[in-house]
Amino acid sequence: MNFFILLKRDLKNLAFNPGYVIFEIGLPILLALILGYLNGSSYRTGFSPYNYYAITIPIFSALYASTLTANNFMERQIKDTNLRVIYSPIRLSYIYISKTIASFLFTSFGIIVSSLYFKFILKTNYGGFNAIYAFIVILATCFMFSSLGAMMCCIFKSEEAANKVQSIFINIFVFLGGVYFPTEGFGKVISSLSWISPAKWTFEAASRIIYDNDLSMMMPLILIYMAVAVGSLIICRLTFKVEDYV
Amino acid sequence: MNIFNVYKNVFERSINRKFYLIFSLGSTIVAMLLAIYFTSKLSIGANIAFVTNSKNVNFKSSVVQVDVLHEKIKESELFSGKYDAEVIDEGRGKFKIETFKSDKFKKAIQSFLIGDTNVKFDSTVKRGVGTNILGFMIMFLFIQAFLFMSLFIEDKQNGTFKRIATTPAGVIKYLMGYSLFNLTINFVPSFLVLLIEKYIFKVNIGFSIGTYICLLMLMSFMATAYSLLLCSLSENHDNCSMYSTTIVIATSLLSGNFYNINGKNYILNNIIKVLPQKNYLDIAVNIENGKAFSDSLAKLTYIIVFNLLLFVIGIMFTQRRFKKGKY
Repeated sequence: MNFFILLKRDLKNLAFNPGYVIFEIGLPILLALILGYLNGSSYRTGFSPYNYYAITIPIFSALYASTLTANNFMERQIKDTNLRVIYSPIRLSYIYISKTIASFLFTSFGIIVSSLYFKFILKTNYGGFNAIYAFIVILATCFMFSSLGAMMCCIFKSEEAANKVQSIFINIFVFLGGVYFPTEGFGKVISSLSWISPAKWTFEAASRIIYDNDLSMMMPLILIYMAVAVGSLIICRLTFKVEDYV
Repeated sequence: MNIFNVYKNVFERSINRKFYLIFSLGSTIVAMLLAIYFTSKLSIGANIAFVTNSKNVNFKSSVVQVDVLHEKIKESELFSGKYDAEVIDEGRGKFKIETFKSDKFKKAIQSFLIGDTNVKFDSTVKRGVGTNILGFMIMFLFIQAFLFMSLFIEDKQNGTFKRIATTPAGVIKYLMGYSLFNLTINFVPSFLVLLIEKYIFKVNIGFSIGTYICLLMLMSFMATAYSLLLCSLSENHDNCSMYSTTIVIATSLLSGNFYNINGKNYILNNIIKVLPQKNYLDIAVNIENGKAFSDSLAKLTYIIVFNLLLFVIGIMFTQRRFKKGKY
């Protein structure tokens, strides 16, 4: 019960902040429109340029979930509140688990809203019913990055440091994963380099599900992502110290 | 206390946070190294999957990469851009072309199959190496500039700003010192990255070192002016970094930092013309094509005036708020 009170508070913190709402819902839609426009003339008639970005932009949001966790975890004002929560009779682990889940839920909401926009307003092709599976993989990615954000905060002890390190890595991942434009066609070196990015794995799984009805990548990826998420929460447990707050 | 004292002070304060400094600079440098390496490896042209039963197939071309396969490829491989087109050999010189790309592209492949080995593709990569490198750098540098300028927001939040601003240094010198610090921290690492690429990795970086010094100075100036304005307007670090990411990504993409823009929307095209990054890349393209300096003069003036304006607005805004006793 205590946990849900915390979670509710964390979700409210996210939802009532205009910066986060713009970032989670406005930016994805804006990005898809810009990128679709930029590439409009390079696709054949009948194939919407938005088809590609309707898959990559949700992945983009999923990766940025980690910065959201970091903000919601160790922002200056919230850090003081955390101190009070620490000394209340609840489990210590509830703090970072609740932050992780809050940012996961909020980002998922953003992903779903922007995808519905892509589907019904921009009329993109998500395949048939299988699209649900593609989105499960994307949401698993989102969960992994939410907990990675919490882990970074516990390791670096501050939101600023965590976010500075994360934002560069996420940018590299996003870029190599082909979110802005396909990186596969740029030769062997780059296409093999791009496999270091989780965005790439998710994209590959999603496009195989939607275009080939091939679900083979789905389960292994979800398992890996969940394992990483659990692993990073364990690291949180090991590195989260009350002393850092006093 | 003059500007250089503030500069020294800011510099020493950030040097003291070693961890922070090393990580932010380190990761930007890695990103830039990767981006430049990436750019130098860009292969221009098209990738085609040639599906056939016969065994004597030989294509030689500098612009088209042909993979000869015996099985049809998956649709997702076309979608993800691994192959731009799939050509199915139906025997007797007949081909079936499957692609998501434009009709123009399809025609180019048709003429390639007939035997035109130097066919021109309307490829996404049309510019030289130099412009592409600058295009990649511009996004990273703007993000980095904001990261370092946001120390100013921290100063406002923890009261350091108030204490310095009430000394004889004042608001203007304080902000000038900060900007100077930001200019250095933007320019020096990115320039070092280029030197490393040129002399250690032996990558072809396009422009000469002298040209890069001028262009990077200009870029650092743009990034500094932009981040100063944003940090002056904002009192909350996290919100501001969200807005900044949104602005930087959107404007950089619109100005075509990754590839040339070929959209035909009248309104958007006019918005794009106003973006300083777009003008900046146009100058780079002009230099690349060996055009006279006078051709770029108008754009250069525009960039400088635009960014000076951002700069002045940022300073005036902070000063007004300070005088009203906001801090």
